[in-house]
Amino acid sequence: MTQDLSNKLQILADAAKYDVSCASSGSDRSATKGGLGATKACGVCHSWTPDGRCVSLLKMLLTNCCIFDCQYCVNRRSSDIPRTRFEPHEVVYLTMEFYRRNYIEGLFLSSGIYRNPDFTMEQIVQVARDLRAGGFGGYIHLKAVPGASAELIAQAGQYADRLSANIELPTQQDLAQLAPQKSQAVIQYAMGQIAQRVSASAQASANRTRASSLRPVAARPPRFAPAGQSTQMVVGATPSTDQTILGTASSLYHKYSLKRVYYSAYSPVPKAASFLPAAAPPLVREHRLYQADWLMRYYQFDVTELTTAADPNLDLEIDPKMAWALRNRAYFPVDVNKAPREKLLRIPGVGVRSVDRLLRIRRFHSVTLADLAKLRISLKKVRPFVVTADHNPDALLIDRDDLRQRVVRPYQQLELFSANASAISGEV
Amino acid sequence: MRTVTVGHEFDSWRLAARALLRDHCLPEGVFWQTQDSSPLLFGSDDTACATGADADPASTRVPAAFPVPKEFVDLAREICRHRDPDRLSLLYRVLYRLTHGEKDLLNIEVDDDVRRMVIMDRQVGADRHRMLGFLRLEKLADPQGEFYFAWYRPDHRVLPTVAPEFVRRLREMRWSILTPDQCAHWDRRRLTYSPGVQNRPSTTDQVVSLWKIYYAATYNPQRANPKAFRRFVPTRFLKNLPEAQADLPR
Repeated sequence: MTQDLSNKLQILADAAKYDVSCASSGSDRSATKGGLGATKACGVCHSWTPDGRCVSLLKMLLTNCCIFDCQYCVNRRSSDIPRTRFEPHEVVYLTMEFYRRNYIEGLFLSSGIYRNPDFTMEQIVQVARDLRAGGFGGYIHLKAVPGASAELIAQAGQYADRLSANIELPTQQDLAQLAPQKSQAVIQYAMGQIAQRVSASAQASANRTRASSLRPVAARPPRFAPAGQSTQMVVGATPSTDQTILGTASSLYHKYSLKRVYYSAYSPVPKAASFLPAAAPPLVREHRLYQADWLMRYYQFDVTELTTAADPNLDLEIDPKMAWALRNRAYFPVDVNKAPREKLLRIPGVGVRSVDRLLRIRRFHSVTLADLAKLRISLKKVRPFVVTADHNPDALLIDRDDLRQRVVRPYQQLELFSANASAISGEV
Repeated sequence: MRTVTVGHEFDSWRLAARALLRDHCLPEGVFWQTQDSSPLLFGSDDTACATGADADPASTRVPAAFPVPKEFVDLAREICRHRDPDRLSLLYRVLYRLTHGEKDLLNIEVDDDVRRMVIMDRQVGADRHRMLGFLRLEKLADPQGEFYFAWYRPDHRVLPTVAPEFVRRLREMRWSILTPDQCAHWDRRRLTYSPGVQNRPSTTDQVVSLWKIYYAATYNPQRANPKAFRRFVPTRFLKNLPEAQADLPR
């Protein structure tokens, strides 16, 4: 392996680009004395690639050599691609030099499974340890390799802001078919370990804050992965429905308090197995999954409300909240001046922030349709579903058969916009 | 009409606004300008201004302070960094309304003045956040050791709030951030400011070529989405980003 650094960088960044997470949020870390780098709770995007995805972290694999043969993955053992491996000091060099020039917020390090999970995890941890020892205070996201020892996962969390163990595919059957060396049990065991340590560390930190008001306490112990854990699911490589995908996501959120589930539309890999789809699923599907995910996390929707037995996939033409509203018309119209927060959250076309603004405004001022427009809420979308202080003739439309046609935009146009939005929701 | 000349800082506006309130000046009786703006064509040195009904020439009780919500002070401080020339009169108009019977005004975001304030506040915040991301430092060989600099043209006057964040991040480095309005300098101990620089100096930092390689490699051409890209990276910022010249895969 005598390739120069730029060659390795090209290969190992290219190999890492299918992991869509690039978030640098959720951690507020200050640099150590004489050190370099700090993190900001809101995260910072430093660039965008022409696919509309944000570049926040230096996202690379330590090596693209892999003993596994996951069919959807470009780095699988049977794939005919150039292989290489970073030395830990090379990753440290790139991270520090890029950080000094404000190209990045930090490092997202993953790896092919080299020799075995423990050896791989050990190498990943080594890089993070070296970075922190060198005074690096920027963001570090490490991949937790399922099957690695508890001790190594524990070490990783001491240096990382965020850990992620990828669930990879929505069901155990999907894994058995496409990634036979992986199993949900092993992956979820890793998630469980991380979740336990994250919550224990957050608890200890809270107790410490409470105790410190009474007496001085010892130096702060390192927080275990203060930005929590996330995971990623490849979508569209298997016939699993959106109902199955969202069900898995919902159960992971509950069981392991994940910060995020990322949905990655399957990108056809070179020389793929013949049973894999030849084309990527439409990006709009990924976008609808993110919208549904948001409804579960910020809009108090239950996973069972998002799809139906008759139609287990999300509607590609309309957003999932609109789809729910059309199925549940008895819920409407909602009075924007009187309804409680949870009812306002159900109005199609009204986001969380608009809801909170409405709640504040209406204590002092009766909200009209024109006011909704001033808050940049789409009247075309909301009119049939709301009662305002002024006369709203469209509230009569709620029982009409053609309501769907009235709120749907032509498909072509929709795709244009949703691709944009998918870039936002997918890559924050 | 009274002409009031202030600096770009919030404190300068605040002093002037206090004096106007004390004189009961109506918002429409004041013409605001900054020290660097061109003088009013038909301006006058008039210090008189139209006064509101509460003006009482016999009154000698002058309030020292005018209580306004903290939220207004926070918004005003931020909006003073906006480049819209109407910001000063907008702030005084809202201040006047807050102190003349509309104390709940800030809650009513659908009011045109409040909405304008909220939008300006958001624009300044977005500009600061974008500068945190889009600023690019370059290394210079310097007799005293490594030195870094960046040139950047922010939409608004946000440097004084961005520079301390870079101190937090790049504390161990010596650097300068140059903008057309002013420049910030950090020598590992102190943050100082100097007048602005109009043009970008050129350098020969080599690490940028690695960055371009990374940028091209992390891009997935199967998902090309130029519309989204242009929305996140407005054209005027492209020339600040060296990666915009990377050789991209097709």
